[in-house]
Amino acid sequence: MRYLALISLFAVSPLAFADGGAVQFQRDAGPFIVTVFAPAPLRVGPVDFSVLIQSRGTLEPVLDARVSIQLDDGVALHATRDQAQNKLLYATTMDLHTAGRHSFTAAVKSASYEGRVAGDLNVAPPSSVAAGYRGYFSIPPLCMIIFGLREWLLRRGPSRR
Amino acid sequence: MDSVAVAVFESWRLDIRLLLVLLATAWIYARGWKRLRAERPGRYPAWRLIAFLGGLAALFAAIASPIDAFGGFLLEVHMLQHLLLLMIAPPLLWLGQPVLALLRGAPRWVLKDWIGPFLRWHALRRIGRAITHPVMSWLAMALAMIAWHVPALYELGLHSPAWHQVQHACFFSAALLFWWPVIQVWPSQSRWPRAAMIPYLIAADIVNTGLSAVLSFSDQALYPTYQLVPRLWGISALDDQATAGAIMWVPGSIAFLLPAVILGVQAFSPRRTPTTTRTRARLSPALEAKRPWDLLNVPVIGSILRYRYFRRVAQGVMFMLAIAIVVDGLLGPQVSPLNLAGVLPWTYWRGFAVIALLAAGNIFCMACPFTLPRDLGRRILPARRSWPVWLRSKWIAAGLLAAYLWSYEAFSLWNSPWWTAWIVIGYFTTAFIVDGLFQGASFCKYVCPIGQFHFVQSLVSPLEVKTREPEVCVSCRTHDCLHGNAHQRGCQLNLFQPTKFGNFDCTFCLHCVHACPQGNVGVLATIPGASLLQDRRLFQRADVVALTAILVFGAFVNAAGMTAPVIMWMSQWHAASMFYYAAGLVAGPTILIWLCSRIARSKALTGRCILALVPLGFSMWLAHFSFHLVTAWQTILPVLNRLLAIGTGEYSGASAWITSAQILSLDFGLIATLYLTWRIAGRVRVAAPWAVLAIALYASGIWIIFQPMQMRGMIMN
Repeated sequence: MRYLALISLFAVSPLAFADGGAVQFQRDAGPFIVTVFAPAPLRVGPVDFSVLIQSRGTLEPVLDARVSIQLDDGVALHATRDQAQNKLLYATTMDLHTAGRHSFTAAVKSASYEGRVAGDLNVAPPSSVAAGYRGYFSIPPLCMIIFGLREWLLRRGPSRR
Repeated sequence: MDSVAVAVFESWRLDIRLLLVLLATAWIYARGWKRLRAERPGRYPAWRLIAFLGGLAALFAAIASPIDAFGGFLLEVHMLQHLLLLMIAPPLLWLGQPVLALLRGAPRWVLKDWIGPFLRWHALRRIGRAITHPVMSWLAMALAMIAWHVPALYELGLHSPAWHQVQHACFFSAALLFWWPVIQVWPSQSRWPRAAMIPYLIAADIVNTGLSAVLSFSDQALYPTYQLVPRLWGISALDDQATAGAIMWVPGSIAFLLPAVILGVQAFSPRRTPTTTRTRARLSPALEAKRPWDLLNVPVIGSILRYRYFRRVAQGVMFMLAIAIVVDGLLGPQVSPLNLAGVLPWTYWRGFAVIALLAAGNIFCMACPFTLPRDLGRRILPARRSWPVWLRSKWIAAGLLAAYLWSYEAFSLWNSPWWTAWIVIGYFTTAFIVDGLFQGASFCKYVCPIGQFHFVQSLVSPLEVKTREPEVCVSCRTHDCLHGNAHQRGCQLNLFQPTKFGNFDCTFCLHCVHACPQGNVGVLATIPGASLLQDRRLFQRADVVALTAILVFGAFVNAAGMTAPVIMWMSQWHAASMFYYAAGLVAGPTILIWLCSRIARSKALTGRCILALVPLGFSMWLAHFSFHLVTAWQTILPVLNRLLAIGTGEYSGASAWITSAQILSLDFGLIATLYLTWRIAGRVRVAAPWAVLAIALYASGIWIIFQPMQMRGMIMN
């Protein structure tokens, strides 16, 4: 079942990557266009969310808004530009505790507008925590292979042409 | 500049790993370039250094600058990134003629023992020769450019960060191959006439032009992702694509055609006769010298360390901190995160001590406050006796160490400022009495468990107090480094510099440095762990081996003690902690070592194979203590807030990179241990059981890292 959910996620999500991952949804909010990014597929665990606010008329990024995001009825987290690599985005890290469909709300407040946009997110079951560190686990075997090769070369003596 | 432009220019990704790799490469190249320039000034002018560093800067700009941050939004920015990887960074790097420079800049032992065998490997050289053939190089570049611009593959790179990295790696490596014959990197030999590189470059430009024309003139967006992402500044996906095509076309063509023009001019110019600056026959004596790097020669740091009273000052500072710990521990609130006795020793001191061991050496013993009252003790007490011969071993210290590890868990020392204060008082008292009654540094050498921890772990430190030129010591008759003189005390731990090896028993007091009339003792760079390869009697002594085993297994037992499964288990049974430590420090290691020794059937090497586990044990201590330091580095704030009414009271969370750093620490610990085991054992049959033990310890370390941790004595959000 979980694999089916995962496959359906891939099938329905319009994938596009930016700072924090793929576009999860895009909504109009008063004079703004709000786009929410997150890694795809979304999985249980800590997830980086980033939000882009653009002026609807000029598509110019809006940098002086206050943005907070909320999952279901959980605690609202403040997203800031300081936390993003791309400083046009507002970013924060949120813990997703359970797999399944969740409602997502981004509240936007600026000098001229205050409102919120909402959408649904599909969260897949967690992958193994250690799976994210595969690169680090591969270092010792890689070094052992190189060392083995070196030993073989040394024992074999100078190669002949 | 408007705020959006400022935001764009601030969008850098400061990846410490990337920075370290690039800085290390630049440093190695610069070292090699300097040496080669001394030999062949004509071949290594300053512009080559600038070109190489420029190539590294272009690589950094491509991977970490705002170009990377905006590549997912705008195809034209993404194209600029690819241009840097394909046409700017590789030729600049090759113009630096880096092959010999990097080889000459690498440490001699790395070159001789690790790179040399591969450079001499005929099969590898044949492969190198094949892939740097102009036909192969050209095909690699053309294939990479065409394949990765196919929409399906380009989209794959946009959707997956991992595939995006593969794409960049393909571009960069193909470009390195492509530009190799064009620049003709020395000392490789030209396979084709130089003039043949002109059609080579023009043919590549044709491929580039074809691709950029498709992008520029297509009436639909070829990459759907760019239609889905928000369009910044109202640039449409189609306009963005056309601009990307133009960037690929014009600057790309310049990158191919400009070298073709230069080669053409060279081909039709009269040949220069190679007369002027030929090679010098020999390196300058300064470069030829094999003197290792000496910390005492570093400006400022060297002067500070040479200052006669430096140790006293450092000890004085630590002494004041120790007094503050005692006073606050006894009189302050008995809440560990709010008390100096709960925070300074258990979070900061342990963390900084292991980092100092990794980066330098036994800095803690150098600044040890407990031996400060030694002189006072010697004035009051006689200090005429010698330490009893039957106690001249590490057994007392090993026993104290095991008792400390057990009591740390059994009495939750980390959570008791009062107990911590009494431990410090006990330390001062014991040091005072032992060194007041007995000559030399008997306390350091035979009693102090903290000292033994540092002695063993500093065997893998990169610095060592050592003679600069051994031949100078041959004619020495006074042996001031050992006996001292009228102005300076000699080594209190009876280490004689000419026969001393490694850091074992060395407190980094630098008495020998000050005492040597020839100035022949320095703090020299050494290969971490190299002293463990020496077949010394010291490493076969049962007390030293037992001490080492306690410290190696203790690293894992102590760290596992803060994981949720072990805490749960220990909470179910009153005497569980006693059983846990008895099993983890004594019974378990004894059985495992006996088994390994039996299987290896080489009893004589058992002690040395246990010593080979030191890097792995140290890596676990490092992972454990640095975890506390990094995750709770702001823990001092509530204490300062309580004592001095400073500190904001707002604390940020743990750093995400610490897990990666912990795994890396264990990785390198395991690699070093396996290497030492192999070098000591020499045969697969002997090395195999010890290697299996090391891998099992590594696996348990990884398990510990991924367990929920009890955050001891820390303020958390």
